[in-house]
Amino acid sequence: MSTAVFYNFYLFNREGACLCYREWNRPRPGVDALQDQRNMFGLLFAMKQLCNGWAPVEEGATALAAEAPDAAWDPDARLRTARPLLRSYTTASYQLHYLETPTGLRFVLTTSVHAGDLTRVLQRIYREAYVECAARNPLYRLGTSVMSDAFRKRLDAIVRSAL
Amino acid sequence: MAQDAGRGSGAPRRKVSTLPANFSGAALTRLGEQASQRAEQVNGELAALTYGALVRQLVVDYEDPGEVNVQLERLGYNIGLRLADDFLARSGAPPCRRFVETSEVIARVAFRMYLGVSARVASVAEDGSAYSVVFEENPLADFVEMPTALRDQLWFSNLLCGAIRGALEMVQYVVSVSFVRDVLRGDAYNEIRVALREQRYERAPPDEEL
Repeated sequence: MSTAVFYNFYLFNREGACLCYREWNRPRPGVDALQDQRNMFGLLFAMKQLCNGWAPVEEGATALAAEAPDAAWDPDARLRTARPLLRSYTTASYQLHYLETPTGLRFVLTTSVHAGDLTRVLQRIYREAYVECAARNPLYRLGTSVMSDAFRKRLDAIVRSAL
Repeated sequence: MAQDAGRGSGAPRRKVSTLPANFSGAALTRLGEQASQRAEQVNGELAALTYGALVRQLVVDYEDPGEVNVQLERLGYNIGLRLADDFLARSGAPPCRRFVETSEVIARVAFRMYLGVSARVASVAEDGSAYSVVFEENPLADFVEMPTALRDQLWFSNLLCGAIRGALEMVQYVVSVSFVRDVLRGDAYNEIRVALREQRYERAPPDEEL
């Protein structure tokens, strides 16, 4: 845990807009930021779909998917009814940690390998950074960038304390 | 709601058979209690008086009580859109997999957390697409006495309806919410009716490379 390095952070909303991007260490600089964010969202969306599609049948879950009124023609109905299952994935060189809220926000952290389970860190970012600096900020318009100084400071502090 | 007609007389009954085990009333009430204790508290009287002043000003500005109801609902809606994340991040409430499960979470956890009162669920529609939230105490209306001119037209606490609608919309349920009974109108309890109109589903992001 102590040797883990945090690479970067993304926050997406349900529509795929990147509300926040923060970079601490990125071993591969120089990519087009917008394209990178779009790819990341697409990757996560597809992985989520796969994860839910492969998951062992849970009691209630399939019944619910079948229950969805338009399950027959809406292939994504299952996504709505199934719990988000993706939490993290590990490659040989980095780890990606994922938290999706019922409101469709997606918190993504990438780190070096062996960072362990960072669900708690992502939940703290949700609770202490997003909710306090964005959702409760009356001047923040929902769905817009949350890159305020306050948010950035919170985010950095949470990540630092997790090291 | 046609399905509800004829279901028990007097106090509406709760139907729990469709809810999973972690939706037990006592457990949810405890969650609401804990969340409300963790949160920063606002003086209840201050909140009630501020809300009262707001409603009063709206009544003066809009003259038509029907329009005041609309404005209060809209205010609440915008609160609800933000409250959804606040609630999910801090309440620790179990995730709802179907619409009917939101009823207990709103009544037992959210009402306790944000209003400091307990509410209960009543008159759940057979197919689970509508329910009522029933509560006796309403902190928003603590010092209110309705003038007769407004009594039958103004829903004083319509903000609550908007807040419920906004919050549920954030979790993909498009609902219509309205007051059915209000103690201020002489009813024995307050009742808010929540009906599901549409359930939204996530769509794949548009392919921009085409």
